[in-house]
Amino acid sequence: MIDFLRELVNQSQLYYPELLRGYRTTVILSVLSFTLAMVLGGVVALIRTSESRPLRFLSGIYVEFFRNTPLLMQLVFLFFGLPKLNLPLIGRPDWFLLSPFKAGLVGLTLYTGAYTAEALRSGLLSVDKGQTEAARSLGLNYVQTRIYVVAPQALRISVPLLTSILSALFRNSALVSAIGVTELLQTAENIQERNFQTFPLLTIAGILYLTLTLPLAYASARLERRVARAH
Amino acid sequence: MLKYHRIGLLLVALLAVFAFAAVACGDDDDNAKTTPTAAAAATTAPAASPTARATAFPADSTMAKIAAKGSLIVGVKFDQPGFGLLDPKTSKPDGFDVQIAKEIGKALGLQESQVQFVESVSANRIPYLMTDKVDLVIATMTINADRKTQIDFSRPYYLAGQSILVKKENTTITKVDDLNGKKVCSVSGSTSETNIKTKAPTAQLLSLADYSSCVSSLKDGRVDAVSTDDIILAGFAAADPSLKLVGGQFTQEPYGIGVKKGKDDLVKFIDAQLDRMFKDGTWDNIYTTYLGKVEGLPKPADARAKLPATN
Amino acid sequence: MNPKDSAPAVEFRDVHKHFGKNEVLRGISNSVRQGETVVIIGPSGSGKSTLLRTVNRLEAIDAGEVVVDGISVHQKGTDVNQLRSHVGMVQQSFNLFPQMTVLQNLTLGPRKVKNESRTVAEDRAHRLLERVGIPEKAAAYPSHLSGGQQQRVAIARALAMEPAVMLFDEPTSALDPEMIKEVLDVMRDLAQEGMTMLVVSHEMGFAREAADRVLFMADGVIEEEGPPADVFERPKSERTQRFLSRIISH
Repeated sequence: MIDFLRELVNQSQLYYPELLRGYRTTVILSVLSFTLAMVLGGVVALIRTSESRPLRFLSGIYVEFFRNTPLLMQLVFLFFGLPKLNLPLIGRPDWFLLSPFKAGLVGLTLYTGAYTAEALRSGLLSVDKGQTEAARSLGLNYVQTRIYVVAPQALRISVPLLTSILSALFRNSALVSAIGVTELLQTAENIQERNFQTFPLLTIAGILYLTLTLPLAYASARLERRVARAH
Repeated sequence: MLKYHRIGLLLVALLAVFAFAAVACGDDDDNAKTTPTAAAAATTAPAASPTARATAFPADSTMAKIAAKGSLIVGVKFDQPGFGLLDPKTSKPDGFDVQIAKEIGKALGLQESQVQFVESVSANRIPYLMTDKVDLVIATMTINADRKTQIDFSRPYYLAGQSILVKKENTTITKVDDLNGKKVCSVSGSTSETNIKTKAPTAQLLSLADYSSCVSSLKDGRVDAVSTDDIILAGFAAADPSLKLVGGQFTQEPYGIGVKKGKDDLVKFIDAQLDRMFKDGTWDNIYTTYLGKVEGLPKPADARAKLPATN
Repeated sequence: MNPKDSAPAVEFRDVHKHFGKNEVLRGISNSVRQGETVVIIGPSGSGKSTLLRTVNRLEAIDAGEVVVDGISVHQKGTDVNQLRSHVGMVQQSFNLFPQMTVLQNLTLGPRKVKNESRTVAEDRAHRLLERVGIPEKAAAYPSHLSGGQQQRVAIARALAMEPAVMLFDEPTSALDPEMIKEVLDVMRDLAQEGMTMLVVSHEMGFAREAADRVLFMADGVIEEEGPPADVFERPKSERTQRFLSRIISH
């Protein structure tokens, strides 16, 4: 046990610049794709609760596809599959050759966007109808009503769910190592491939992930309690 | 009524958990004791020497223990053309490394069917040895100082070298220096990756999980070159006429047989067997069978002559 | 100006509406003149709230026509948002926007619908809060206000759009008794200032004092109408009599 702890400290001291680089990649990739997923999910949630049947149907397909297929498959498709597409008329545009980071960003955004869309949709549906009527009575149009009145309230209701989605994203981001992004887990694996200190290195990586996810879990629990009290 | 229903559900759930646990444990035991079922030994050659040979080893030697247990478990690659590649028809691996393993099995007095193969990817080769999941690793493993602190190696049985794979129409990359400023793919955390960093410092590295992914990226135009051991690249070049090998060997990668530390007798035994194979033509035969057709590789005798005598 | 001489602010022309098989409005015709305060009374389910909600098209109609300031509300080409900005509405459950301060509640409509500048909208909002008697609550959030205060903010919010007509849909039904008066006082002041008002309410006292005219609705028709003194003291219809005697005996 003492040896293990010593090795933990030792490995951290030896490799912290490299590990922190991986940590930074994980954080940047997760935070960036969460931000984009919020925008995407917001738009999709608004469409899913809109009055247009075809749009609701299409957005439903998006959500169910990305929630019900493996993230790894989606990432591999974006990175390895897209470049092999040969579309009629346009062939294969050069931008289909996504860099690992971009493919990871797009993949995590699309996947997480499906979850944020569902969280925000349930938020939108739980906002009282009277709010919409009051806003429409003032003369606000449909879009203004949703954006200025309904969406902010839906967002607040969805915050506990969104917190756990962000936490899942931090953990899921490890999968982008499969498409060549050297994030936190991959960094730890690369180091252990050189020095074979598998256990200490993975433990360090685990602790670093916990620095991201534990505060979220704590915040989420607190928020849930607050929402529960408010109801 | 409802209550009983719930208790019933609970019981079913508990049973399911136990059943799962039991299956999981069973698996573990199997792995620890003897045979991961991956692929049983090949059956082609006639059963060789009698088991009487086992008695030739000192009673408490590693060789005697292996002979007594009646099986030699060897970690090999299942996806490396020429060295260890799974034959989809027989579900058994075949190649240079596999034949070397069979030779050693024979020398231990085992039947060919008693030599069993387990797939070892780069990342689990050493863990498998350390946890006794395998007796030997013969899986295109380069002998290096880091690894020597973890396991023991036999003397080199093959000398590979890092080389470069490009598209056939590429004329700008002919040597390792040309990789500077170019996009180069290698396997994440591999020796090859480190070598590129030192030999072509301004190359833009793409690090993927395996070399087929790298080759896929090369064909898609995402990278300009793939770089790793020549024999790995030769396998891809042989399979795909749109690719070619350039730049010769710019590193030396002696492959050794991995053995868990503390089995010096087994290492000595393997070294002796390799020496015998070099001398009696066995090595040359295996080389010719599996690597003879690959363009750009030396003749068997030349290849053998290049081998360092020790690790 | 005598309200009775001016042009109608709201006109119902043979309005019909169904909910499924149930016909809730069965040919309503009536008109509200500018500056007039009309209180609609009647048992629940009589269609009075539905009628009110057809004025700003929160409810669609099946036949007939509703005209506000000369504009046919339910006609296809009518800009419903434009129309609604002239028709203020106060609902039973306030429906203030909880994520905004009182001031923001009052300026949202003017700024987004009429593109008013912040200063203009906020100046008016402060004046209106003064008028409804809670100028000190501008920066407060709705959840920190009492029910009566919230409903007064809701009235101010509707007035901020400077509407031609104000609709009140049971504005005091969700209030504790001690808060009803503060809301009715504001409404009474509004009526005296000449606002055109259409009020659905159970507050007979308010109807008696503040209404120019009372409509009694039952089963989707206007059963009786007239000045409050006439309807309350000398109801002609038997149903009106029965309704009133029940209400007053309570």
